[in-house]
Amino acid sequence: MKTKVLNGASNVGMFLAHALELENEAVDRYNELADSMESHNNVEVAKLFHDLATYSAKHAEEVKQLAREHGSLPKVAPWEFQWDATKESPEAAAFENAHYLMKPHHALKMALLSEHQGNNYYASVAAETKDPEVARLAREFADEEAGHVELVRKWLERYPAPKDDWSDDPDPPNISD
Amino acid sequence: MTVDSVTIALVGSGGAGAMTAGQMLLDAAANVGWYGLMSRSTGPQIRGGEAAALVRLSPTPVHGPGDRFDIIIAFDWQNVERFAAELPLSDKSVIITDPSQGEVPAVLAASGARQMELPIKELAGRIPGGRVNMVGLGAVAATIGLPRAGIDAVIQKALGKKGDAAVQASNAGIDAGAKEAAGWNLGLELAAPNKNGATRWNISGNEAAGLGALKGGVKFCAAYPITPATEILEWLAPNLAKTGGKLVQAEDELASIAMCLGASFSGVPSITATAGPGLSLMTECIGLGVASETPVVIVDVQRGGPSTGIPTKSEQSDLNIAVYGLHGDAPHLVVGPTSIGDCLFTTQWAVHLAEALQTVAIVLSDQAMGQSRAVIDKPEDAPYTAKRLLATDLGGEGKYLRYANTESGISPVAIPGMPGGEHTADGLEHAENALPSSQASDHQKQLDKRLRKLTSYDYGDAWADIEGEGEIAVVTWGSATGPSREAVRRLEAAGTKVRLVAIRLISPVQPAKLAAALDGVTKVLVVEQTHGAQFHKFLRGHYDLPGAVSVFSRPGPLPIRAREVHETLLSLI
Amino acid sequence: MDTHLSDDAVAPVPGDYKSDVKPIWCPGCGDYSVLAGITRAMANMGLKREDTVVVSGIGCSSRIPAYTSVYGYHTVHGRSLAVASGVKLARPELNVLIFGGDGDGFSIGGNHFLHACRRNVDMTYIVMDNQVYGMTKGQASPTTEADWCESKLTPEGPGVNPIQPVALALACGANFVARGFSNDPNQVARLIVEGVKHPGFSVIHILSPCVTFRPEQRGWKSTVHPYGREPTDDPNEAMRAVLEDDGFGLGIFLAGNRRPFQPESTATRSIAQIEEGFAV
Repeated sequence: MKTKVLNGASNVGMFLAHALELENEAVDRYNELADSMESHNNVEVAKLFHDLATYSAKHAEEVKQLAREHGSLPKVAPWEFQWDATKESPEAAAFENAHYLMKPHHALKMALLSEHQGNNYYASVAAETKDPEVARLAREFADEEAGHVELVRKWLERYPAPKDDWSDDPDPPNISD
Repeated sequence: MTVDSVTIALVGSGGAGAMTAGQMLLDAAANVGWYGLMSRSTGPQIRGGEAAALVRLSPTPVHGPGDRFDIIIAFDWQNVERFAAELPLSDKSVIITDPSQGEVPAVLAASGARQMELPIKELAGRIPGGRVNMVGLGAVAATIGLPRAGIDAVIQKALGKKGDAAVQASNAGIDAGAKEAAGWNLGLELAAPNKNGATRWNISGNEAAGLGALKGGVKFCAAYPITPATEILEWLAPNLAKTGGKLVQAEDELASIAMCLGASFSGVPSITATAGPGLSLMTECIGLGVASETPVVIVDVQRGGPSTGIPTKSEQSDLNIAVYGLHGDAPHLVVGPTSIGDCLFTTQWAVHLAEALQTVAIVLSDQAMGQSRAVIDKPEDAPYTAKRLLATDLGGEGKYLRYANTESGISPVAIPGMPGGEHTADGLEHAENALPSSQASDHQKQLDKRLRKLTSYDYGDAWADIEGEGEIAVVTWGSATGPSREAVRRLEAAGTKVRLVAIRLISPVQPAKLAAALDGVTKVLVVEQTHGAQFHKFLRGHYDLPGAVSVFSRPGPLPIRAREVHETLLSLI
Repeated sequence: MDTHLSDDAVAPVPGDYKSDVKPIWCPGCGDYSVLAGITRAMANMGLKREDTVVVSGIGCSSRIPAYTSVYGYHTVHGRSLAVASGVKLARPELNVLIFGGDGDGFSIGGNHFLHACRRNVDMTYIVMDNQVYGMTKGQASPTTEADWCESKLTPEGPGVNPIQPVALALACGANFVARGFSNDPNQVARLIVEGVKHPGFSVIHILSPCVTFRPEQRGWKSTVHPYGREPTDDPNEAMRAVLEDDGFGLGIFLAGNRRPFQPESTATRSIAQIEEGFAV
């Protein structure tokens, strides 16, 4: 049970700063993962991450628009953001879960987790805040994330779990510098 | 009857003050208008060891050590056998010896040199605060006809701060020695100085190299001490600070060269100095300088090698590592000063070239030049300073290409602080945009570019010292130039014309220029101080030498003397 | 550290400090997150790109400079700290950061690490420790456990005890010493910001798993723990505490008060005046 209220729940400015960080980081991370897949010639998953980035960018743009309407937002250092259950921004897929031979199934599982965490964060804020405007926005965003969760879940249905040997590589690692 | 050159050894151990007396002799001779050269030879002890100051004086510029010693004065004979091979004598030489110190060692007496007894210790003992080295200095001064005024000025300068008693004791010692020697009439009076009105300098090769660095525009030095290069670093420490630069002591030579590269990457002209062992450690980072096109100058004051070798003695045997020591195809600059005074010009030129060509320059000095002092005419000012081709129009449409494949091979460089020029310089092979690339076309392009910038550059006349004419030519470099020059002039004086070509720009090679310099030559004598004839093989690898080629090459620690080159040339005529 | 801040009207974002070069690290590698932490730290401080120099040696993590948009120098194995010292000593107004790995920093570059700590030049060293040489296919590094038997080079294990980087940094005199974990790039960013702002030489040891040669390091996320003490300015106190730590405590161990080394010089003489000293 939480005793401390998330700082993103304190007022609209702080909420939007958090939302902006969450959405931007989600887009950046999907793009970074896509780049990493491209570097490792995993074209299929690279494209999938790019698509996820594109979808996320749409929501990020909506948040940016709200932020612009609100005016200047407080400056928050990376480590001052408070997320309900994660260390990083909740919708940024964890780098550590990537694998160079990963399949779309794995990528979508990563995305599902991210969207879930995003949804949970907004729901937590909605539950905690005493500011009615924050509550309204947080509920709205939580609903949107819930939609994403559904979308990714449906998407995932098309990519069942691969066989256990998906990460087998007959070649050894390469020598570099 | 006077002589036109006199060579003197002052020998003594453990606090006799032989070195100080030698230094004062050189300084006094300079004061009265003679030219001079002083080198030193010491045992391995930090204090109290046997030591010899080796001084040559002349009314004309001194190019190298004398053929033999005219005078040896010994304050004692402790361990002098160690120097015997460095003290060639003849029956015309004079040994000034203190009977209280025992017989003249057989190895020296065997030369048949005249022996003059001087009770040095006794004479010094009669003077309150008297010292043997001042008695010896007085005897030598009287023997060579050094005017007393020259010595007075030196004593005043050296001892004035210690008070009148010290000055009087020194004067009394010198007078006592001079009085004894006055009646000897040894025929070793040096011809009158020729004061041509020009300013003279009293400078060591290591100081000259340091000054060359300053004049070239160096503002940073990372230093790790090593014999016989340390004096460059110690001279630069205060003098860089006075001129707005900085010297930092590094933890080893790996660090000193790396720090220089860092400073240079940030746009500050940088230098370090070392000897063979340090140069060996630096080679990986020198390759980084070549590949990342980061200018840096390394002065290698060569000593006997391999390994720890003979740290206090000279050799030219780092030529191979300087030219060929880097892995990969790594063209860079190697230059060698041709005299003590030229350590200034060549180091200054090296800074200029390294900066202009964005590469590494290795200056091959050696112990014989670095740790010897010479009285010379003040070197002329040279117009060479550090000037790097900086990038312009940064932040425009196109992305900045650090390693742009230009016609000259020189790519305009952006240094930190220049917006729009951000890039990562790399020792990995790279494309023009500086990003790592292992593609054949990029490797070829960058190798070509790094070579082209060196080979297409106009080095002007400074690539070599070319003197005289005739069908015989001496081709040499570095400190072997001095004795070669003297040998050539002796032959000229005797009516035989001989050319001298002392190559200053070792790498990149200049085949067309050397061919022109040797046009009409039928015999070539290569002179160098290595065991393996490294310079001769280097020449053979890169040049077509005309006619019959002979080689005079031998290792240290004994210096090459004009007599050896002269005799070799006579055998070729 | 007197950091050179961007004067852009628009607040910089992490993306401003990324180049368009795609990292070659294995997907899952901790270094991706460290890079994220680095660019977030740079954006947070608003470092001017043209006044910032990042230096590295050789190794996976030493590839970072090319992935940033500031000035960089990718040097040779082990020498990054010496090169970076040259940059900072020659141009004190620049912001200087060094990136590297455990082999680069503590094995081939060990002597430079020792002296960089004691020299205390005002720069920040971010060393990514995965206890293995990755680019040469998984050999034991100076931080590898004595009984790690997965390398063909040391099939019975390296057989020698690993170095403790944080203790070593303290012993050698580093002025700011901290440990982070790649899993938490925001804390990595915080440590870097603190390190850059703190005067003198700052060592930031970052546990950064190698998923290819040390896949078991994925488990570090349940091993790490907060260091649990407030930073001290007393190196002795920091050392005592660090010796009790299990090597997985995260936080700032020391924020000391040693004066940074930075020789200053002002021209007071012309070269002509210096030359006069040689005149007879």
